[in-house]
Amino acid sequence: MQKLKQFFLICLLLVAAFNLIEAYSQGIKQLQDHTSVPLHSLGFQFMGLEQIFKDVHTVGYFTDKDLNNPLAIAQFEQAQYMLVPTVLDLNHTQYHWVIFDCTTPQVAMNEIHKLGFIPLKANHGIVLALNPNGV
Amino acid sequence: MIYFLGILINGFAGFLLIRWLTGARLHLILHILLALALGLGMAGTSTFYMHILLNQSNHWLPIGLVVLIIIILYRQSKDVLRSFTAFRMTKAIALSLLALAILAIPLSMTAHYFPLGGWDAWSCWNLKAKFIFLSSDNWKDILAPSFWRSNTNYPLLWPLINVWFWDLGGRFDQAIPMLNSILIALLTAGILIFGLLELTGLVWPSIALAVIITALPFGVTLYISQYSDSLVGLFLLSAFMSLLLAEKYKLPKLKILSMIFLGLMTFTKNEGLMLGGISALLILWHERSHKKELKNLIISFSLAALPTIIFTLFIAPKNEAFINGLTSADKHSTWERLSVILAYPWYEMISGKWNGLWILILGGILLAGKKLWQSSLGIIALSIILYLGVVLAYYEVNTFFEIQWWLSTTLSRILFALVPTLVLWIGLGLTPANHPTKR
Repeated sequence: MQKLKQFFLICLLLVAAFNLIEAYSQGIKQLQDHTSVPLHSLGFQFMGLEQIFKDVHTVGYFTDKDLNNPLAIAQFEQAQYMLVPTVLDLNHTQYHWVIFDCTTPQVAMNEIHKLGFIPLKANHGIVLALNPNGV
Repeated sequence: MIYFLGILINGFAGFLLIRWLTGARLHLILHILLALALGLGMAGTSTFYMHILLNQSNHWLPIGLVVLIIIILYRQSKDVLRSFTAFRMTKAIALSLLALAILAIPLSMTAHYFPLGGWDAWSCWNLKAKFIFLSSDNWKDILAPSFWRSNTNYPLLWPLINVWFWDLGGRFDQAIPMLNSILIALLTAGILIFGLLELTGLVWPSIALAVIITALPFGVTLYISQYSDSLVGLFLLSAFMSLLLAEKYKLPKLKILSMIFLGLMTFTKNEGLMLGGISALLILWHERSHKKELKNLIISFSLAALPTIIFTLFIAPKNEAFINGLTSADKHSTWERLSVILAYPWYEMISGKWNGLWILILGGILLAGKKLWQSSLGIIALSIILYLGVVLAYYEVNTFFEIQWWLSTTLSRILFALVPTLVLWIGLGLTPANHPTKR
């Protein structure tokens, strides 16, 4: 039994060393990775809008993307995170400000014109529009 | 810089509370590590009480409450510096501190890569924190049904800890949850190393066990994801460590600390509520012959869990992601669902992302034998087994989510929160009886 325990201790030390090496290589790889934008950075394109939405309780968020697609829902949730305490009302356009996050900027512009809104600001396919009759 | 001032304030409050309970009898570094963990809980709790009392954000009162606790406890303490002057550095302590420094580097590198944390950080935990901090008197709007994706019924301790630091700095800063997530990982590793060192006297096995779980790349990712699960893991470990040290040093008041950690854990997330409740009940049952102590243990648990009681009874909205599969006609619990639930954990445990950790755990259980099932180690085992039983039952009863997807996104985190305590349990089971497992 004592020998088994010693063997177990050696295994522990080996696994600890292996994990440590792996953790360091993962960290170094991530530090050197400037090319890919992780899923977690989707919300950066909404930065700056919080200045416009100061004291605005709720704004609309329109998207034609398939919300069963994790990327589309991630984009919405990151937008919400970036813009709190303003609440984003998903696919409701009755508000004074509406964010259009569409499959292409052209689709967003078509929707904006169809609804009679005024496009104000665009950033990486995200378009902010003003609803003249909004609440 | 302001972050470290926050750590200092919280940690000092925790330090004085532990000192008040134990005198200066705990090893200084373990005392400091447990104090930092306790301090985080005190910060979150004081932020909660201030929001409840004033129904709005006030940046100074949550800080003021912790400072007030410091003043009260400081007046009760005598010769606080004695703990520090009596401290002697040894080779074992130096090696353990070096191990923590080595662990801090990959944690910091990965945290830097994911500054916003994982999906649930920005869709749930940090969203709540940021909303509560920035929204002044309409902070309860974060519990509105439109935020159903953020699990509105979940307790608020982790978001409120971050709010406390933002209150101190006077502004929202994304670095705070990131730094706190690194701190929680290092506190877990530190408490494990120094606790095992105290209980067994063995340096390398203590360091190896802590390194295995903290440097596991999947674990690193989960730690820096800024989820509440790592807080559950820290508080559970701290609670059982306090219980074991109470028995080793014959310091019954450390059991009060154990119950405080479990009480705080109930406010971390619903899983923490279940686990905290189960563990507390088992410890009370374990202590049933000590009638005098029992009263203090119940009071300390109830006081620490008071925010959870207030939140659950008066504030939390109903769980929007719940369908009772036992009564639902559309989505009822099935045998098929049950078979997936029973099979999935085994596939999870042999998954490559754990780097064989569960095989090591199984090996440790077999080698340690019956010692693991006796006395206080038995209480740890029973707590984990009962908790996992409740979790699996909940997977079966709540049919809101498709089970395969739900298991794949949540089970690993549930297991991850248990791992530090499991490792402590096995570590003690494998070492010769340097600590009293029998009362």
